[in-house]
Amino acid sequence: MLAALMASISASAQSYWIWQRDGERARTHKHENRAAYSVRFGWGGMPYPYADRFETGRMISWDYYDIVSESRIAGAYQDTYGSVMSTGAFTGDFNWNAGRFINLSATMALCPVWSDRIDGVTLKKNGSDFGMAISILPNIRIMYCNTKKVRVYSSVGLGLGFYPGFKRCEAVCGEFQFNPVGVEVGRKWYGFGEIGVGTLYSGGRIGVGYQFGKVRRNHR
Amino acid sequence: MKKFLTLMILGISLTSCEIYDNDNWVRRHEDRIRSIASNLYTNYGRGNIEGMDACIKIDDYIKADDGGKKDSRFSDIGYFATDNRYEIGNYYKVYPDGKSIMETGAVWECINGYSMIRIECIGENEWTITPSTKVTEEDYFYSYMKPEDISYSAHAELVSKDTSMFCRWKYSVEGTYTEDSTYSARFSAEDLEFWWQESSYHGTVSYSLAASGIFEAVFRINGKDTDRCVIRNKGTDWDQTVTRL
Repeated sequence: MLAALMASISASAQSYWIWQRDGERARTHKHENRAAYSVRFGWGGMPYPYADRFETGRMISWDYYDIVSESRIAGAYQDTYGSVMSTGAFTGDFNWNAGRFINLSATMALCPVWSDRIDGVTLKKNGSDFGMAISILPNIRIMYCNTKKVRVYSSVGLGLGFYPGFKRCEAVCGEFQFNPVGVEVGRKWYGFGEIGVGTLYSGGRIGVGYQFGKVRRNHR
Repeated sequence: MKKFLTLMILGISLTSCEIYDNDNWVRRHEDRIRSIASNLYTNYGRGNIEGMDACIKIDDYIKADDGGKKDSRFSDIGYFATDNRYEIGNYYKVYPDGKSIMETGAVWECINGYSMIRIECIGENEWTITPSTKVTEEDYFYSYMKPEDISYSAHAELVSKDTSMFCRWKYSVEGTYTEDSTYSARFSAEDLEFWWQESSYHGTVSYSLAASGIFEAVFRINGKDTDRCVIRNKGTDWDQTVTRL
């Protein structure tokens, strides 16, 4: 009876050791087959409320002279603008699979913003204003799952923004983006989706990516 | 992949969106016109009558005997400053000319936060009102309508005055506010009536200047009429209509 029990325990331990070893090999195998780099193209919305920087800063100014200007007859007839529109941010990422738990990437985002220009005297549309919010953000990605087929991560990025065509903005502004959850699914070509908040977008981002290169094999 | 791209393009098309709603530019323009017309009315309609009304009360105070002066509320809040100027708080500055304002030919001036007027008695209970000649820069520091931009002539008639000195007025005015060589506004009112209306709020009685009749302002760009704003008085309230010309 005792011999049977010992044999059973021994067999279980051996099975467990084999399961562990194979699992580790499999995980190492998956890890070692990760692609080294990837590029992604996506779209994110809702865009940051750029309207304040684009056209409308004057309207919410509490500057005394702005208020006086608004109160004068000339202020009632100055050219104005219609609703501010945007497509959301079109983004491109380059990602370096630096480690099993950490990835580094750089994101460039272009967010077109436009509005109708309104003639202050006729109150009719007489053209449009167009601007582009350009953001460049280095990101760090924390990988919760990092296999060739599925990747789950959080990311945070800090960078700079440039605003050609914007009327109420500094030439260069600080930018940030925090994405608590992102998922990539696919091998060479893959799709991705993430949720986040920041100056690139607040809400979600979706897109496609392409992986290439191989992570150098680990010879431990 | 094609499906994915199609879905993505569809998603972008559907979600291209308004990030700031500003399609109400006509209403915003009208609000500005209303605001400027209100200022013209407050300064050269109601404000002139308030100044006129104060002058009548001060005239009564000056004419009163010592007992009457003592009983008057002006004995607490008003005083004669130098150059025979009478001041009520820091708000009213009244310049009597030595004659009673009820006397034909009397010329008084009154400056308050809204209006700066020169009053000339032209007959029994009738006055013409024109811009004051005694205005200093500090009198209009907070106003963007500078005295040199304003010209007008008004006629005020004292319809009745009760024992509590509450006056009822008939008032007409015609004038121009010229902001610069491009922008101006003509304003006018015919036979506006003003009176003091009693109101009570939580047991506290107060008196507000009420009115009936129409005050109109026509806005002009390079001499061409562009907008008309009509203010219809309804007691202590009024409504405004803006019409494009």
